[in-house]
Amino acid sequence: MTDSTVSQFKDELYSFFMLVLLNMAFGALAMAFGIHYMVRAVLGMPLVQTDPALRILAGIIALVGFGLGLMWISTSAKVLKGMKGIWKDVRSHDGPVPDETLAGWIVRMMAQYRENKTILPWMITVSRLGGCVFVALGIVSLLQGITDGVTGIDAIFPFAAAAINLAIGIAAIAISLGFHRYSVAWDRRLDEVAKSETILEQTLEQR
Amino acid sequence: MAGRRTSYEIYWEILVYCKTQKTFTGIINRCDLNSKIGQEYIGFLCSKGYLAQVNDEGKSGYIATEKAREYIALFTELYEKLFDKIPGFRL
Repeated sequence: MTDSTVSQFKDELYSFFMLVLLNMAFGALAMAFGIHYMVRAVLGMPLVQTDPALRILAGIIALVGFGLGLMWISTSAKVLKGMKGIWKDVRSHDGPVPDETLAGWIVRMMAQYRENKTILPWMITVSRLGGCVFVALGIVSLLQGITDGVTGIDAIFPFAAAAINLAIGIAAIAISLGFHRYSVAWDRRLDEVAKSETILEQTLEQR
Repeated sequence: MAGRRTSYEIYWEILVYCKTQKTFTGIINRCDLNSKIGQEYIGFLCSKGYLAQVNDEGKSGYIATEKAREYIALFTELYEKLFDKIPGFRL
């Protein structure tokens, strides 16, 4: 075992844990903004002058965003639940990591990845879709801001909403790319494990 | 240890855990196996000479043999290589 293997393992675990936490946070934001936009679009506040068609479009997009946010949080929570035990053990370990301890952590990560293998593509899709919805919502807010013709302090609101939505959208798309990279790395590891099984089988059976 | 594991991963877990004498119940609890499946795994390892059944002062248990070391070392090496060979994932 080399220290670099241990630090690479810890880095990956930390990165994935942060990614899932960020994903949950953005899922919660997606839900909150979804509700906010739905209410605003339906009641037409404070954009009474806005074209009703634009308000209905914003309402529909917000409803989709809310639904995606809900699924987003529930899938992230499932993944997080499985990772918590490994995270706790790795963090509580002091001093040099023995080979077998590291291999044990890798086995657990591998088992978790197999468990989450069906959820991850779903998380990637939901994050990506959620991101696109929020980018679309940001564009709609931007259009509202430009076409409203509202003056004074009220003129700032659509632009602020556009900035927030675009930021959430871009972050969600970035998170989906992070999950994709994680998936690619672990799929390759699963392939390697499948190849190793022949060697392990021969070793076990030769006795 | 829960989650989806391969047979080879379960064999490795049993052998590492049994470096010192362990009871059947201890093994199945630690490795998260039911008694039927646990019996199959332990039976296989005993039949191949990787685990030995021992009776110490009336307490029966299992202990990994010298032969198990080769499998444990090979498995550990192969799994650690997964992180050496494949580019890692980072935020």
